[in-house]
Amino acid sequence: MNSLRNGTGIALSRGMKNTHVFTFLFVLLLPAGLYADDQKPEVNINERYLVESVEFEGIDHSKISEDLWEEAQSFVGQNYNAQLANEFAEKLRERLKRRYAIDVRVNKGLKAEHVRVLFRIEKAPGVVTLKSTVKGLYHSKQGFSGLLEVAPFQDHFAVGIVSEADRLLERNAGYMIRFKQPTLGTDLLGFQIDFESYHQSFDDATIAELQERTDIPDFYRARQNFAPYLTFRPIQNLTLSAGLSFQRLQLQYPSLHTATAYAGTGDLRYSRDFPVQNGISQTITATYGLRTATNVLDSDYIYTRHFWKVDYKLSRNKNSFYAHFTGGIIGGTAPLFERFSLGNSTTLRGWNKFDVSPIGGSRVAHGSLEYRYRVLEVFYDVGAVWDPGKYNPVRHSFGFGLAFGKNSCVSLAFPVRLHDVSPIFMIGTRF
Amino acid sequence: MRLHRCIILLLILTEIPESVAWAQSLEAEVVKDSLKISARQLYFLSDTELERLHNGLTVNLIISLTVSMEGSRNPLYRAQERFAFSFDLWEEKYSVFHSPPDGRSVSHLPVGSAEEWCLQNMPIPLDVIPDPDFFMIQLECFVEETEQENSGEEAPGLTLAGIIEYFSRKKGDQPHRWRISSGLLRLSDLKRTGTEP
Repeated sequence: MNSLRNGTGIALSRGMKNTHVFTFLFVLLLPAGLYADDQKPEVNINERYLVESVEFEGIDHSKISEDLWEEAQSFVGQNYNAQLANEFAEKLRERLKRRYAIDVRVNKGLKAEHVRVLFRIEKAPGVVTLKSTVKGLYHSKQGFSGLLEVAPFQDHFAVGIVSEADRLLERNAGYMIRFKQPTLGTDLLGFQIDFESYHQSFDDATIAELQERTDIPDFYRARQNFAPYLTFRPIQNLTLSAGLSFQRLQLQYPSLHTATAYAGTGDLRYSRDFPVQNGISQTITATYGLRTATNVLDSDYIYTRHFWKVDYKLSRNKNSFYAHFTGGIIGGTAPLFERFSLGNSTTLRGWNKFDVSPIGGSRVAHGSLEYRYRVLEVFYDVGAVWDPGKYNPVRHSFGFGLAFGKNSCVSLAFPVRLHDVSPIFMIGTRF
Repeated sequence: MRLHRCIILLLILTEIPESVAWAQSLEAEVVKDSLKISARQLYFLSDTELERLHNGLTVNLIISLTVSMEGSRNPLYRAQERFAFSFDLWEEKYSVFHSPPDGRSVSHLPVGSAEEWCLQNMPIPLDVIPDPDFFMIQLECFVEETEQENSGEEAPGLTLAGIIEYFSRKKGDQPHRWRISSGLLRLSDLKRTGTEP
């Protein structure tokens, strides 16, 4: 048999009789030759560039364990290594129990000859999960709030029941339905429709003060909201939303009637994780929200509401520092659900919101500082809510407790004042 | 009879994509003591692979060449090589790495030249081809699946999610693979470069 092996090329004798045996051997030996020494050619020209940042898309940071997060950030400043990136993606996929597909992408960095590594994480095709969200909060002055939301079909559709008294001046009890299309032909564009239907109840202090304030619309006993909006992500870290909100309020006095608050809505959100330096990681999120109800939309209430929120987090090892700022202005006559209030599970935590201002205000400014060591937390809040021409003092509170993840807590908070320093106890998930 | 016609029609339809590939030109040229192949109108990398490359990833291409005599099913010569393509994000040019033992690489090329470079690095030794007999060359090419694309099959155990994933795979998700053959060639008819006439 005259055969010649030259690299992976094989010359075969014309007179060969047992060709089937040879073909079999060829098939058997060829892969062995190709994969000799288990050496796979993952030679990527971009490996000569330094990694500027490692980012994740499509998953909440809380789902990535700390060790994996640190491992990913250790790539920063090193030469890009395609094999390591793929191995990391596989490890991440294992940790996420293979319910996610992970796509590694490398883009040009902002600095010359640097690259950004992006791990795009998506639900694996065909994996049907029933995602549910349960939130429960007990507030010693405002009672229980709860939410149960079920989202089958990979977050496209969600239904939920709510009884909540934490965020607004009213207690909402009802249901919500959400339809979401994260991409509309392109990853840059998404679409969402929210529908909410609630029955309201108000605190006695709110009802009493409303009787004296004729400039503020009366309370209502039911509220429905239909809100379609588009989401646009022109660049990474930035999200723009624009849509409409059709709210119908059922008022009881002077006779049963319906009033409308039809508004155009717009939101701008910027979020950025800075590269880890000296073991310090930093995250900043800034949000601006606008709601404007006008005659154009045939709204009974005419107003414009601006809202700003900035959250900053700095962490190193087991120490974390948080700073939050919120501010808002309302112009015109806004219904109660749009008015700002302070004194709940996230703002002026030592105060009851009905003691701060039972009818809220059209102006708000609030800041919080928090320090956490592992799960131990201490915090300080300062803020004021007021109407133009009506004095309402700046209030302070502080407290301590345990914090789990982003929103779960057990806290005891105290108002800073000279009398009636009764603490407020909170346990559960913040809304 | 009708069944036979249907079968023939079906066979014709299933062979159409390959026939299209056959219609492309595969050219051979004698350079010194070897035969070099070129396929100028042929693009190895589909849009999917190009998109992966533009996302900074590596695309491994397996190219095999087979030489066989006219009317014979037994090959005279076979070679299979792996080439790793990547796209330089800053230079915006393509780079190719030829797997060991050759281990050579080239960079700063447009996509067509990078593909051509692969074939230039797969010379067929002249001594395996008898003259003056007719022979054919077949070029086969496919993109190697990445580990992630394969990982569903490597998952331990049989899961409901895995089964759904397997059956919900689109046909288009299959790796790009095609084959092309030259017509009948004879060494004495081929263009010669770098050799004595």
